[in-house]
Amino acid sequence: MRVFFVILVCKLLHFIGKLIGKGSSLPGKYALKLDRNILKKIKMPEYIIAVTGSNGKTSTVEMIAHILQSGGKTVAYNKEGSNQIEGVTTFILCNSTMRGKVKSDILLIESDERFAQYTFKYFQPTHYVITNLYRDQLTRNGHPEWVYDCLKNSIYDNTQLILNADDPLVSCFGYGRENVVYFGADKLSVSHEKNNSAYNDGIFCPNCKHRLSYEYYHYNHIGKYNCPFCGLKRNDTQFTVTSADLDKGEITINGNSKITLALKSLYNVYNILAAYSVCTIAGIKEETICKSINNYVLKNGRVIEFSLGNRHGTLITSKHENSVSYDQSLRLAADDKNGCDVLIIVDAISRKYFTSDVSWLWDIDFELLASENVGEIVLAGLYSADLKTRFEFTGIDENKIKEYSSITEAAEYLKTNSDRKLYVITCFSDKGKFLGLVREEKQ
Amino acid sequence: MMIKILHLYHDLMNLYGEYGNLAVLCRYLDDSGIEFQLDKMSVGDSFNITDYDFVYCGAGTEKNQKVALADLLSHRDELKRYADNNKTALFTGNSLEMLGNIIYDRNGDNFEALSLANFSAYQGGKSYDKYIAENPTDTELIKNDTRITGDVIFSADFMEKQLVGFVNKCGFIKGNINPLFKVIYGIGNSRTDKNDGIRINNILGTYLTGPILVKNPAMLDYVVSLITNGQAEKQSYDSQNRGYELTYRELMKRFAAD
Repeated sequence: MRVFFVILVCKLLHFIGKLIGKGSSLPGKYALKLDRNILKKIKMPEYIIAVTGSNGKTSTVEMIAHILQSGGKTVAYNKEGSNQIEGVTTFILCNSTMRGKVKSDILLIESDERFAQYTFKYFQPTHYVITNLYRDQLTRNGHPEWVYDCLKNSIYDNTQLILNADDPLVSCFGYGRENVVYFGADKLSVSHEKNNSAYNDGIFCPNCKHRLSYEYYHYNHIGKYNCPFCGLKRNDTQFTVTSADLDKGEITINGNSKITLALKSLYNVYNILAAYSVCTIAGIKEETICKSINNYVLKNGRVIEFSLGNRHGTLITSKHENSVSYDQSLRLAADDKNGCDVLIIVDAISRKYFTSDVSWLWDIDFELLASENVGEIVLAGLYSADLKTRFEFTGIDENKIKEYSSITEAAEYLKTNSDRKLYVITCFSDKGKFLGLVREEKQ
Repeated sequence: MMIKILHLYHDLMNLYGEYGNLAVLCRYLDDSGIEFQLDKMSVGDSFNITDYDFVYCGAGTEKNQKVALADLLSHRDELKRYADNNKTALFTGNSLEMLGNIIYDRNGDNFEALSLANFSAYQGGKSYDKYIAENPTDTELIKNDTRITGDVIFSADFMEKQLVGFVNKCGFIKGNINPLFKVIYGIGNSRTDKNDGIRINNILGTYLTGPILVKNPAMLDYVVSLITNGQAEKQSYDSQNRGYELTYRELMKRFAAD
């Protein structure tokens, strides 16, 4: 099959798909049917950057693209979010010439962590960023060590790994390997000696299963660890957050690059750091990076400002079945010294597949909301009763908690009962149901 | 009455939310006016299983399961005596695999297990090759290495209400098994076995994963009555009951449509 023909088919299908509003993985699917090895035949650019991990892929990729473009590079990336082989094939072919050469300076790929092994059979990234491995969608993914094994099959010798040094399981990818660059955070004012989350995945060494020892934690099991038995340790980092003031919203990387944060969470800081690291490696100057990423508001709609009655609110899209993501969102509310109310919605567990499993609610540190900054807590959605049961074990005064299975009724109540700031914590699958009831504030 | 509870490998066999099982159990006992003590033990800790009235172990990653098993082997005789004395234990998720004779993992390694019952566990990959070599006609189980995850509905002859839950595992068990539950919808002990789990006197094992006693108030009632010989005053929790009813309804709707 001629490369020309396959690309033509893919581009045509993509064009038609756009007209009728169809997804971005179908054209790639047909291209692969015509020629399974089509990606092997494409002339790739000098830099192929891939990003994978449980959390922060989309945000990190968006920031990397933004920085590279600010640095004068042309970038092709899967901004439509299809991150399995079909979607990746679509965007690569659509960004190629008819002769099969990628048109941009840099190819940037968000890759699904379990399916990367199938994509990278046909071509390999030159630089591979792995952000973290957390408990995430376990109803689909099994568990983080299972995902680790899947991901390991996608790593080849000729690729430079860019790893989160502070995540013990991720750092295992670099154990005994050369050509690895690490990023991470020094001890910060928000770091703590104990892991206070609902569970601790940092107790046992992921490499040898003896007990790890931690000097400090940044959040969950992210921190500075070492294994007295096998020697796995938090590696020295080439790219380092040397200080962070989350109240002020300012971080410093490598002692001299100051960046102001639009989203004041440590979790977001790691995404910025990952983007900073790989963009520096790709030859972008530090000043350019800082300038382009300063106060950068993500375009992917993860954080949305709105008003409801006299209230101002922030909706933080969190991932259901992902306790680390939830913990970070809860922490933003719990730490808001101006005081706030919180609405939590669990209506559909996933938008992509069916499950009725709510086990993950028990991994979330809802105890964070016992903070004096938090006034009322409203639980809403189809699974409000399961949320209620979970909250019965948080020690939070039950008079502070209200439950509505209807999101509309919850919003009605919140509209008039107070004018305090409102945080809404929910998932992609449910956020539209709430946003339809409020007025979005454009930034 | 004083109930001593042992949470085994609480920090190792904790795939997700298993501590919820102990949380609802302790609340129940507390509200029934029964005194209890909860001990959490892990690898290397010193404990004697026969000192307890209830033992719980949750699911873990395949690697963690082997670490827990190596430790639990030194308590094999205690657990055997515990079972013979009709005392109550609950093993959820892949922790039930530890009760059999041997676990074959997907890398081709074998792990001697507790031999409380006569069965073996096969965890995908190379273990399937081995199984097929020994059972050449039983080809129904040759499936690839993908994870087996899914919602399920089970029933038990000792409970009026059916159970809801989720299974997250990577293999199957085969052998001489006295099962705990019947599969109404979803996956059982293997792709062709329409039963789930294993029962050895009052040692209950099920592939149900996570906080199963939170999701199933009737199962919580049953476990409490076993532990307390029916002495505990029955408790009922509104949000827990509503959570169960909702999931049961959602799953029935879903399975009926399939």
